Amino acid sequence: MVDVLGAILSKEYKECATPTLMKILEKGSKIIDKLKGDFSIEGQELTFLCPENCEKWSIVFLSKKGLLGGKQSFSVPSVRRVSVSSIIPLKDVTSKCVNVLPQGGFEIYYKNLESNVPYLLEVEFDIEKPMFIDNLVYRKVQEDTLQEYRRYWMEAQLRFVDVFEKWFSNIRFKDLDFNVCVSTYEDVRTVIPASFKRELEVVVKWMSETDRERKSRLSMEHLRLLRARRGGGEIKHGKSILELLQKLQDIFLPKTFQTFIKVERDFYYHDCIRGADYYAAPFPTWPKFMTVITRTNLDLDKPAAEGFLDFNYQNFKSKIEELFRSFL
Amino acid sequence: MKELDFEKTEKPSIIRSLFLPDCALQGSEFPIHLIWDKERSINIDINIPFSLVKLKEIYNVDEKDLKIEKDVIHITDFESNGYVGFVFASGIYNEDFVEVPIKIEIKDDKGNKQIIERKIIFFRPHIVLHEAPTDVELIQEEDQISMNKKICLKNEGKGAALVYFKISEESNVIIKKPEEIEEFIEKFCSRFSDKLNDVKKTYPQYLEILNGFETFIIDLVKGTFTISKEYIEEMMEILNKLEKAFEENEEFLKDVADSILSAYLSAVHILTEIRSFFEYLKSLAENKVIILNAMSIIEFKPGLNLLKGRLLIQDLAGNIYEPIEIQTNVKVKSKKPIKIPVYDLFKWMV
Repeated sequence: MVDVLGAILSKEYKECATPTLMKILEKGSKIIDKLKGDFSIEGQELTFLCPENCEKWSIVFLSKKGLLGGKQSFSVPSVRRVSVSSIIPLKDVTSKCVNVLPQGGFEIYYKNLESNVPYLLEVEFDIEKPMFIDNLVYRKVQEDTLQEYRRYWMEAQLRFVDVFEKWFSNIRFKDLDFNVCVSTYEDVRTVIPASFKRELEVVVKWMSETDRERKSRLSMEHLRLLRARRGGGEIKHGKSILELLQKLQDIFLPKTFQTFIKVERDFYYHDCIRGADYYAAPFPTWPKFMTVITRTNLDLDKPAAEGFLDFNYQNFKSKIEELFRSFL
Repeated sequence: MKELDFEKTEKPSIIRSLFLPDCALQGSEFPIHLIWDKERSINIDINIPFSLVKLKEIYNVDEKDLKIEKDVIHITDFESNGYVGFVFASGIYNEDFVEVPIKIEIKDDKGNKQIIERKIIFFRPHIVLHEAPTDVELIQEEDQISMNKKICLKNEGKGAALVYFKISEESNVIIKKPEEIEEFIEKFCSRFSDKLNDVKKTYPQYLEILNGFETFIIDLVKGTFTISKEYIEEMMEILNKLEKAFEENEEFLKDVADSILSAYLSAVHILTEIRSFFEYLKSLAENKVIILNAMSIIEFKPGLNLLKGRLLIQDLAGNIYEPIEIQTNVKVKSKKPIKIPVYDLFKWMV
């Protein structure tokens, strides 16, 4: 026995994942074996569509001889979607050839298939075990960055390879999701002018004050701050704090926020949402973090992926500063 | 601090790609992987100080081809040639900024050798109490409240800190949330419990999970949660069970989400955009510090008050740090009780 300092090796994940992988293989083999009777199999691939938590078998088949009609039934469970397309010419023939059975499984009608034409059959199944992909792939993103760089690394790696190679000729993991928690709070804090903070403080105090005299004093203080903001001139109907805050909220919308994000190497940007912080109460608060969803793919030629997410905080800060310049 | 080298992937003679992060939060996991041509037979030695980092997982290597001696991991063969992956975990060190050297030596069957030497920076927050006045005066003159001394703190580390000021029972001050927030919480919690009771009746198989979830949400909203390892583990377990239940049953997911949304919508009108932004700004202190209960109000009675509590500190990976004890006598020079928000007690130094 080798001392591996208590480290977990691939074999433990293999033991865990093998029963489900076996079922996946059985489903694919069942379809391929049935097709083999009437067609030659030109290629096959198993793809895990990760966000959908489903597996997809893609099988290319070519008729051996003229087909005389009839149909073939495939009794496989948990079918989510079936499609058949001719490859040359590229054409979806699903509506003519496929019947998904209400009791499970599907049928392919041969009469609408032509001889010597390669076809692509794609069958998607639900993955029964919710955490199955996590047994196959390790994923990690950097939780916090050094303030000077604001670059987050992301990494994915297969927990084992040999079982996949032995059982499947082609296997792919598509669109593995990563949530990168990009911190924005420091940037917002540092660019908000002190005069605005003071104005905000007075408005908040005014809102919660019930004493008429004190409320009146706060109103006067607010007017003084407004005059100071407008260089001592007359107060006009300018932009209100609310209007400014609404514009500030827009910066956190995905279409704007994504302009500050750059994703490199094996990963790509998918979406971004306001960060849900488990420690922050669910008030209508402002995001201290934005969750950027990035994705990557793995296969047997690329069993591990690496990527970086750069947050261009200088541009983000400039955008906020610009907003305040137009307000103050 | 010297410039970091962000170039991670090297394409020298033997290795096609190498991922080795340049920095990570202390107490968190970090992966390393190497990819090379499948036709090439190699062996790898990784030299890493096990006194500083823990080896957690190794992928694509069989036990018989693996040997660990002192600080070196020797790998002579792979289950499938061309790739190896590792997961390590750093510790939480006395220093808030630690550089750990890593040396990777790769030899192929033709006698070629490649050596890669790098350093990984492990950082963390480090909250230091710079000044803890034993006596403080709180004076009210008309509408102005002033405090002659503040509790001075600084985050001397590079990592973000989440800070929660928990007042001890020995204190003779009262801490509560601002009225608007209290009203929001009351309305939210009552509506949430009502709606969740309906969900419990519809899905009795998830009763235990829902009870745990209800406690979690109410604790979170009321701020009665504690930053402790046990509490976080317990809540993570509940959330994991809930996630599995959601995956099993989409209707259940919709009904639980509806109970939160409906509670939120019934209470949201109480809080205003301006108030919320003000709270947001006040919760942000200098040097990557977020005060979780910044807007909570502390009420001091006229005369002498004992303010005793502790600052609970956590980082973004959920690591918990030694709390900071705070004890000070607050003399109130006013005929009426004085209320000040938590953020006003502290001065965060740059």
